[in-house]
Amino acid sequence: MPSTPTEPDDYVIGRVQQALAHDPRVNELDVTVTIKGGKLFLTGTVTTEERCRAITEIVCRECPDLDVHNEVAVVSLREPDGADVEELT
Amino acid sequence: MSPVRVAAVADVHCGQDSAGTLAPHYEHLAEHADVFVIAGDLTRRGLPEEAQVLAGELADVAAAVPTFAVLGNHDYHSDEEAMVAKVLDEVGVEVLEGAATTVESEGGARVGIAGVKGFGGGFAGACGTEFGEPEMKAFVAHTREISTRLEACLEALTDADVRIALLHYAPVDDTLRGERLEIYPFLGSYLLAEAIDRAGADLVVHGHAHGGSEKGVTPGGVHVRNVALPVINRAYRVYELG
Ligand SMILES: [Fe+2]
Ligand SMILES: [Fe+2]
Repeated sequence: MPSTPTEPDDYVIGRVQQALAHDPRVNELDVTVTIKGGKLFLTGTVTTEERCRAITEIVCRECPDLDVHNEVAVVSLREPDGADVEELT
Repeated sequence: MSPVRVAAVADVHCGQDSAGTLAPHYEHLAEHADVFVIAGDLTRRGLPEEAQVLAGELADVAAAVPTFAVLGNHDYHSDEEAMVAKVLDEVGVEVLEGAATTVESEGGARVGIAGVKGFGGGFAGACGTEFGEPEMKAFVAHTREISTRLEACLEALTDADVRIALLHYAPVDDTLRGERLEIYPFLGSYLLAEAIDRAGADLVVHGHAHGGSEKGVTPGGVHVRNVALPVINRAYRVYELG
């Protein structure tokens, strides 16, 4: 169901979260969805660029009337260097 | 006995789109660690095909360093968790599902690892109980059962010099700082910490709380580290014990 001007923001957020959890391209439960000033913001991290792009597609399809801002980051996978060790005593 | 170096990560959420993205970052892991533990959410939706991709990414590191994993909630999504575990076992990633094992480090220390997925329920003063509807009872009973199993697994590691509890869900709320309070009961349970404190351990490693923080401690004083990828923001963390 596309969003309508009368649909309260909270229900739009719920719908977007369900769509992100179920879409097999992302299955993403850890993206935060907020709506402020009529704009929809997505924050959090994912593990691949493909998933980050898919999130924009999924949410724009779900909310065609909203200005969608995908601020999700792709997590850094850089290997730590040898000195980057925490000693636990 | 020389110190034991533990490399740890969680929440790699491997999918078909992850091929080639992980292996290059584990290239030097064997130089820095005696064991490698992966704390669940190995795959995006729990498909054997996704596990196959991850197996390809981990095969080299698992051949060089004893590598262990537990499953996370994502690995259960397609009801194929047994196959996910089998695919990983085939490349030498030992999946511990309510099981314990001991390996010897290069420095001659016996490293015991007890692995369970864990589950939710919440923390002191704000937790679910086995009361009311069957669904609610089942929710908390699942956590209790896993916690009992974890305690038995840790207790079985009598010959280990250091003991590691490997979980997906959080045993304390310290490492959830940054997550919304409302979802804490879905992120972990104090029952896991209670089991760990009763049996004893040197380190607890978990993931699942992508928005949480790295460091915590159980009420009994055991180090807890949340190694979810978005929390550590690197391929893995290394902890030195003993
Ligand atoms: Fe996760
Ligand atoms: Fe998880």
